[in-house]
Amino acid sequence: MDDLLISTQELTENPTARVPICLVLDTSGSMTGAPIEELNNGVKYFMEAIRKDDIASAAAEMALVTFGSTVQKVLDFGSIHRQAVPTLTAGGRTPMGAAVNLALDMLEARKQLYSASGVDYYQPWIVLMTDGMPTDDVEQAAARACQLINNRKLTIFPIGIGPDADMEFLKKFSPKRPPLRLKGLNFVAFFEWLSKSVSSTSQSMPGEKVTLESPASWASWETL
Amino acid sequence: MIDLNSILLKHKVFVDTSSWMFPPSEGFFHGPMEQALRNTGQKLVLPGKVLEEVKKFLNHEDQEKRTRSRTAASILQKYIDEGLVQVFGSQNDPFTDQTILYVFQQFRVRYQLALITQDKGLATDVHNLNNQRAVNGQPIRVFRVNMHGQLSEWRFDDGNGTQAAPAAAPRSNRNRDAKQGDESGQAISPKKPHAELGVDGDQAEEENKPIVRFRLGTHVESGGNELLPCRHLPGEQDMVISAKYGNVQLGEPIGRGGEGDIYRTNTGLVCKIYKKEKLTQARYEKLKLMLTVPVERKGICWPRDIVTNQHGEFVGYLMDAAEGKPMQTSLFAKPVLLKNFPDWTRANLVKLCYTMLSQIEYLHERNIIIGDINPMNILIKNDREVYFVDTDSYQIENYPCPVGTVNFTAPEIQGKNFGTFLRTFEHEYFAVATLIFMTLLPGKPPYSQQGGGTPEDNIRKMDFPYPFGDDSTGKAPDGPWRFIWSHLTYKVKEALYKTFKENERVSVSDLKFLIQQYHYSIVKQWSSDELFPMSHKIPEGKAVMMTCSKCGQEKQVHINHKQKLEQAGKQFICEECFQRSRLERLQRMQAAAAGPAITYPGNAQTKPGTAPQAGTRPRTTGTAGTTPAIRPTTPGPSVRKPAVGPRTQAPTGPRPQVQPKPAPGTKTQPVRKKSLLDRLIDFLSNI
Repeated sequence: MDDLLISTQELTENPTARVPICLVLDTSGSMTGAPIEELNNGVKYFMEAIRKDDIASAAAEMALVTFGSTVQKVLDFGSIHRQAVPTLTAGGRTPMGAAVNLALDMLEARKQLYSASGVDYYQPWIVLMTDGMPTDDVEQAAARACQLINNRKLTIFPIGIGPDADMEFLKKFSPKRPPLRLKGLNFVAFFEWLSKSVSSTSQSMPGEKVTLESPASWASWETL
Repeated sequence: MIDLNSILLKHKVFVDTSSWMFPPSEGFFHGPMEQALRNTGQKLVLPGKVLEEVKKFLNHEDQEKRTRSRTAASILQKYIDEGLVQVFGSQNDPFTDQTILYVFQQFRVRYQLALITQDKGLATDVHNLNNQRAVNGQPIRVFRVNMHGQLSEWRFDDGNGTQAAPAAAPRSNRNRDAKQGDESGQAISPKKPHAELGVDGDQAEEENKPIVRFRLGTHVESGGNELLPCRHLPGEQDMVISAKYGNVQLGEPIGRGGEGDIYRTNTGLVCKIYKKEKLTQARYEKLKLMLTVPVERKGICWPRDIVTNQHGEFVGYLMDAAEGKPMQTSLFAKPVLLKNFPDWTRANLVKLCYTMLSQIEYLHERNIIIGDINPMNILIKNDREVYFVDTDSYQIENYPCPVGTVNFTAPEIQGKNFGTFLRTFEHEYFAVATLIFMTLLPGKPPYSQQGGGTPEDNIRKMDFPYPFGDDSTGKAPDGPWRFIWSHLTYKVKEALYKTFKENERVSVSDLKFLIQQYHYSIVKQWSSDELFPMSHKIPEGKAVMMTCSKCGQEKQVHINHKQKLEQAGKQFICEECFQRSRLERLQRMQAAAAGPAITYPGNAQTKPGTAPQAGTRPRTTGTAGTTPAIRPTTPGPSVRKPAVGPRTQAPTGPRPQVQPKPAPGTKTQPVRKKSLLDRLIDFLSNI
């Protein structure tokens, strides 16, 4: 209950326009070992970078969904200041479609909450990362995502990890922005880029065009 | 020699507190002035507030002030008794100087007005009314009593004032003058630390210089977009050349922006070096034009000189260094505001508004339109000291300000390309009102609201959610915002409401006046001094106590509210409880939307980077028993659940090694509830 009150206050007292970001991360068995470790480092880096930036931390609200053994809401939307850095473990399959559906539901609900309390927000971001191909049906989730993107209600950053990431599937979620492949296990470089993008977005006004930095620091050249 | 008789016959003559209390005035008021008044049968005009101010000093701890006020009181007594003055206004007026400024502004068209004051700041402000555009008023004359007890005219070198009297007092005297200013009108009460609300002394000094103005633009300057040659772009340690300052060495970079970098220099000024692709002929011409008008005011980081590289090619300009932190990052959210200005109360915020408005007024007087008013470009050192940076983007004559942000853009120019037209003062007034709104409601844009559209849509529709008079959309955002709004003075609310809802904008000078009144009202404790009040304002005499049926606490409510509840037979729920339960419901809806959340115990206390220890296993806060994909860092047997989704597709990763039995009550993640959105919308529309 106290937690609810804090998050309620946080929601209404903070005048900053929010940037809701949902990380949708593959934690299937094939991520075991170095990949999941680097992914954890990357997420940790991201959360710490945002915390250091007053404006970005007032603006950014992160949620985290993993897909592997199960589709899991690891973190619900909230201020990154109050979220514990999670430690993700790998295992299971790649139910990407269900994970994206969950993320879209969460984003929709969050937007409703913003709107009902009079909080300004930017259109949400989804970061979708996978090292393989989906083991469930992604058509419905992909169609939902595409519709939102085409209506400018969503920005998606689809990212392939390693040589086995199926870029064709990722493309289904992203009608505008081609999926990029991570250079090696450069998760930290990616999350550094993401935190900078949040910072520059949080200093613009909702609805304005923000030019993000080139992803060359983390994206494999052949996908750029 | 000034002919008092003719001045009295032609003008309505006002005398400010400072002149009544100025020791050499005694002889003047008992001698030549009294004589002239009797000769002409005229009366001096005495703002009622002067009497209160003089009275206040009768008990001042400073002996000299007590003596001076006694002398002034005896003169005033005589003048009143003998009908030599006409008192106007009441003691409840704002400070004398504000009253005088206001009256002079309002009546200079109808009457010939004159002022006698010792306060240079006031003298300057009043004199500057002569320079106002678009008003064909009578020339105002401003006098003081000199050391010899004679009237002499304040001298202003802008060609509008009469040539007379010695030049403006040197800066070192200004402190004394400012003190007199305090005595005169600025109502310093030692008990209230923020009572003083004046322009800093040195600024008043600057204001005494003649005003040179830019011309108003008529059309957008086209062309000049070709790049200038630049063989070498200077960086740290490099020399640049200024005609005015000679060779200047660049020090460390202190800021990097889209247009270029800013360096410290060995001159104390800072230097902006443009990126090569920004070095255009037009930019060069605009800077040269900017240098033609002296803008010398602390807090406005105006270009001081153009600099070139060693080949004599234009690369940037020198300007005053700024201090403080950008408003956006130091003020525009409660936590950063409390962190950066822990001692602030509402009076400080209001004073900050006043300070910013003074700077903007100064620019407007010179026909400079900022254009991109933006909380990143205003640096706050304290409530009396702010720095306006990025002045090279300001609109000067035919050079538009090419940038802008949605929130600060007036409805009629939303979505337009800022580089293609010239902004007007009217456009700017909208931006200024937004700035003031977002300062008073720290960081909250005026059109943020419940269930609103995008900021751009809301502005275009002028869908302003805050109530005024009988008008209320009921859509003001949750949190402290509506309370802050309710505590603003009526006049400030009216000005903002008219700007944002009815498209009737107020000038910077008018807004400044209202803000000054608001400050005064706080000092007088007529208005709340709380930064973030937690309840609505209840007018005096309208407050009654009621007990909240939820939390049981006694709360003050408006008597009308109590009567309404009683008539409807409803129980009283306090604002906090009402908002809380409303948001709880909403958050529950959200939690339901997305299934169980996995959180660590003690989430709020967990320090960044600390992974939970083994033993503090992640728990679910929603439906119990869902196995998380996260676990403590300590390696241990992982417990997993079968993957969600059709089993028919081949998994790409290895199968989990352990296939545990699902815990009782565990179900696979409810992935999508189609009805949720509809339910939520139904719910919201019923609130």
